[in-house]
Amino acid sequence: MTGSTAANRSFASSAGLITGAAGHLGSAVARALVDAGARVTLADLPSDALDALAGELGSRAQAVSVDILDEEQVARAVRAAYEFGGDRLDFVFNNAGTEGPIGPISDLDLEAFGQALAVNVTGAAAVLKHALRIVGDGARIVQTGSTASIAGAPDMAPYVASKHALLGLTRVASREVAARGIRVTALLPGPIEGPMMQRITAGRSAAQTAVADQPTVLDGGRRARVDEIVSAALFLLGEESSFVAGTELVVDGGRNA
Amino acid sequence: MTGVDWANLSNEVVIVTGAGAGIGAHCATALARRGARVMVTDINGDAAKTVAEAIGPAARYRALDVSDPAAVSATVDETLNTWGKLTVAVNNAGVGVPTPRRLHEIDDNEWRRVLDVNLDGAFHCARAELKAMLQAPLRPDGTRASIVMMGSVGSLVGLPGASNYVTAKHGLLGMTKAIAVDYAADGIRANLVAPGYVDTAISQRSADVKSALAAKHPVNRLADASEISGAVCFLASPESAFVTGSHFAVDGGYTAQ
Repeated sequence: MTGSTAANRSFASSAGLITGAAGHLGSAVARALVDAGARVTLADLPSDALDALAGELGSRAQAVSVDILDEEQVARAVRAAYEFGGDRLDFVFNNAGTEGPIGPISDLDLEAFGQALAVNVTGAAAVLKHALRIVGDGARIVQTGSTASIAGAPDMAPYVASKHALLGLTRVASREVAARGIRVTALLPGPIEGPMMQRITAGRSAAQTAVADQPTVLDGGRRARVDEIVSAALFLLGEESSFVAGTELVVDGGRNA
Repeated sequence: MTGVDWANLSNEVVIVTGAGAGIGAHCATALARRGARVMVTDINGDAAKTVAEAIGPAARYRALDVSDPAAVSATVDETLNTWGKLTVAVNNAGVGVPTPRRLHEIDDNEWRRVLDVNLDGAFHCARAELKAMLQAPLRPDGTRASIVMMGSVGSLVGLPGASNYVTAKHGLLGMTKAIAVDYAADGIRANLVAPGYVDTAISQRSADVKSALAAKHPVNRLADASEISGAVCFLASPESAFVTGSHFAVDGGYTAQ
């Protein structure tokens, strides 16, 4: 996404929190939001990438180290985002997640399965819990689901199960807070060209399952570019989607049509 | 979408049906505000004229009954003759159900009236539009054109006393997905917007009825038509280049319940 693109969709004087901010999608959304005028708290596990992103984005961004599995750290990150916004929190991009272990269910490591669900579901619930206590009426929360929220993908039971669960969490949260004008929605990308798909492909290769990647129907089977997902995230996080609540936006090149 | 502003639809030539009032009028106006050239059509030619004149030189108007396939083709031809291409269609024309009836009470005329406009009308439009869109220039992002169908929450769930309407609107979602699959390789996208109940001037609902309808939405209010046009502009714009075959509920949480 170019600077001029985001600049037209004003997030000036709004403040938000992005979890999984150092990742491929999280960092791209962070750049677009800061470019559009938002003050953004970048939450992720401590890493050079997180620090580098905060440095790149300058005074309208701060990095906060958080282990999404530690509720106290999550609560602190939410509080830090609120304070960084000048005692306001207008949006949350609840985006932290993991693809989990890759392989068939018959080989499933149940401990690793549980860990993936903990990150993708319990972690997201922790962010929601503490964010909903502090956000103002009219706030927007966008959860990063996946087409794995609505369809199966072989060798990805932890991911698919957790992303289905995340959609349920989205719908419940929306019903609980919709009357306050707080909108909770889910963004459901198809496979995005980038590091996660590389890990998934490598994982399938290691598991020797050799599942053919289903092509999308658009453009002869290409995957999404991350900027094509960013635009949808900004739409959901912004003011123009003001009647969108509790629902999901699939961005998958027609894969699930 | 790189280099294309979110707000900028100046490369688009659009037909909006049912654009004389309500959602359609807001869509035509919002699309034109972002730079699109818009053919404003409505069965009520005077209403279309009023909307087009308010938009200014970027708009033309035409009386159009979408249940008349020859009139639909003539409208597309006029659009091509005027602006040389067709890149966006908002197939919004539709009729509601003035008196709720269960299916066994619906006579043939009432069934046909709703299906003729809401489903056959969309077919006539899509057929003529697709013929034109196949000739539209191929863009660097691999797309040519975007069709936005105006569905309803009745595309996704049942609504009381409106089986003809619900049947048509579910059918419209099927048509949308089929178009997405069939035309993806041509770079033509098709998506459906599913609004909740909209507070339009023409609906002339009593305060009690409005209040009861509002209460069906977790946000406890009706949509303003302008809140639907934001989603339409997103789906019309190159920013949603990877979105096809999707439905997007803009329903204040109605279908999350």
